[in-house]
Amino acid sequence: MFLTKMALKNLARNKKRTIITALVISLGIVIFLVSDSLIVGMEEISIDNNINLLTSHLQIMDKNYWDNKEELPLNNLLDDNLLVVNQIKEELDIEKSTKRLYFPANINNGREEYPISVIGVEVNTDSEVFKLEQYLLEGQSLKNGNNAVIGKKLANLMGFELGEYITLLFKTKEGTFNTIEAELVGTLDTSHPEINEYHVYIPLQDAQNALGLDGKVSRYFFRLEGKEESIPVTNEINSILNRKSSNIKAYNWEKLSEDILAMTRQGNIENLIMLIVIIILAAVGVINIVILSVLERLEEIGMMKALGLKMREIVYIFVIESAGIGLLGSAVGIIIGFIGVYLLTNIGIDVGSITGGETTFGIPIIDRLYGGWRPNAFIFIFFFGIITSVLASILPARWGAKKDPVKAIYHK
Amino acid sequence: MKKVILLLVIFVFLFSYSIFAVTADEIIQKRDDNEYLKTARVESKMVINNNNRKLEKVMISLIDGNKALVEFTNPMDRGTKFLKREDNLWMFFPDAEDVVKLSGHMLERGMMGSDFSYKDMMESEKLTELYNFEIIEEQEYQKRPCYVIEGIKKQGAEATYYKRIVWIDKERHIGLKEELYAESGKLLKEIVVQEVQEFDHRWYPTKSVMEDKLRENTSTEFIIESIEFNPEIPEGTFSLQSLQ
Repeated sequence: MFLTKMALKNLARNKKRTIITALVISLGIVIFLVSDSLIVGMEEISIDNNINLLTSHLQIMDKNYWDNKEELPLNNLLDDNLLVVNQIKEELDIEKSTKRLYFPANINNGREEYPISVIGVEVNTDSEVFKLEQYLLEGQSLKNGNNAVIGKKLANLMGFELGEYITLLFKTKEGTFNTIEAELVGTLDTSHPEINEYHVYIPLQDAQNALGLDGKVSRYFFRLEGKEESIPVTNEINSILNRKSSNIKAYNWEKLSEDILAMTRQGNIENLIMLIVIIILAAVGVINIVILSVLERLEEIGMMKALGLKMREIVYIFVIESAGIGLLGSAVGIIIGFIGVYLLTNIGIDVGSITGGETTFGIPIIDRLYGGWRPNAFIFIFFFGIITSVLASILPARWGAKKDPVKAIYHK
Repeated sequence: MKKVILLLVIFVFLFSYSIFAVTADEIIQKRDDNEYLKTARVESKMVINNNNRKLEKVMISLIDGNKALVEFTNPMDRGTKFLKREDNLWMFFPDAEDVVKLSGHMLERGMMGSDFSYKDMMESEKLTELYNFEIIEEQEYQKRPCYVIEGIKKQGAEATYYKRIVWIDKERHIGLKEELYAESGKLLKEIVVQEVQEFDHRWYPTKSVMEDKLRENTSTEFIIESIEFNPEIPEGTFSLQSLQ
């Protein structure tokens, strides 16, 4: 008890040293927490963007279509008034659904061609499921009739202005060339590079007519109350579909975003490495300061030994001191980190203005980056701060305590 | 009596028409037979005009039925080869020393940057099986009497173009001009024959110009410099090994 008291008194006695050491720990913790929050935020935003702009919460399509969906095939399509879809909506109380027909084409401006994906959307229901309208930069959203909406980047690339006619050249299911000429009524500037550069939206009926695929769509899309519902609802839909032994299957956003999630996972590994580097840097700072404080106090250690303290007791005093510094540093770090993360999650960072709106970080992001909460990170880093501080003190304290008291006192 | 004579005249007229009139399919078939090279060695060049740029590609082609081997000899593309066997097309790039099979959308790209797509160069199906042809007019074109024949894709047929209108020289059985349309009615491509030459009692187009009508200021001239009919083609010429 005496030793613990002495250690705590030491903390108060050397206020400056205690505060500086604790601040180094705090700084490391704040950097860790803010970085972690940004990583979590980026993940969440990229997933939400993907759901709002590309995948929706869940889709149903033909099982054979799924295998080749990247090629946007024109076979294995679904009827555009599938009875089972109504049954699913009724049984599971899903209100928002839409359907789309995808096909590959070349967009042509009279000088050059560029390969793109054309998406025939059901004008009345698409906005219930997808949030494209929020990203309308100029003009208006798609309406029925001969019109198209494309990404701003694609419009710039091809030199299209609103009101001009775009030409789409594509092949029908029989491999015969056909064209669509549609008035450009709107341009999009979304947080998804794929949409900005490669997507052309036209009314579903125009797409069906031009492809000779009346009454056919590629996939149905559903919006649920929240993304966490998608797994149980997908399972329920699949059990309904299995009862009917149909060749149609439901896929949730996680299954549909495998590439994005894989990219995020890859990103997570990189982020983990970054965090480990941050932690190591913080730990090195702590170790450095503890070593210095031990070296600075060699005379004190010599004196303690001369007074009859055992090596174990001296190490104990230093360990308790370091634990105190660690606790103080961690606590301050957690408080500042909490404020930082709070600001990040509520106000965010305007990434668009920093990078000129071209930021993708390899995954679809945003013009404004928000942080995310991960309570585990707070718990982990709090204890990590204390333990690192304690561990860092043991070796130099042992080294100092091993010294001959006379040599320790007169080491200078 | 007058009625009998009138009926007789009509009958004779119809009968003679059915005997002497040629059908659109026959004309197309004759044109195809005439222009179809069974076995040949052709030296040719492509002049690609894109805005103000002009590119020249020189090639030697060996043709045997529905197999063909094309090797480019101009400095920029020297060693680049194409091998066509039935509906398959492979390409060899000397720089990469690699053989690539072209398929899907790649076949719709312009061959070596020209206005001819790979698919255009590969068409080997009988046109009369893919299209319903009809003579829509007879007119003079390039000072030659021509049939103007329109072909509309047969239902279910897998043809690249929905409609084609072709001007065929009545006497020489060569297509002097051909327009290729999309299903929407938009003109996609136009080929005009500018020079024809007689080889062995057979007229053959030696200079034609292809224009991609969806792109302004581009055209590709295809010029045949020499044709050797029925040459000796060594065995294994059309194998994948011969590409490398």
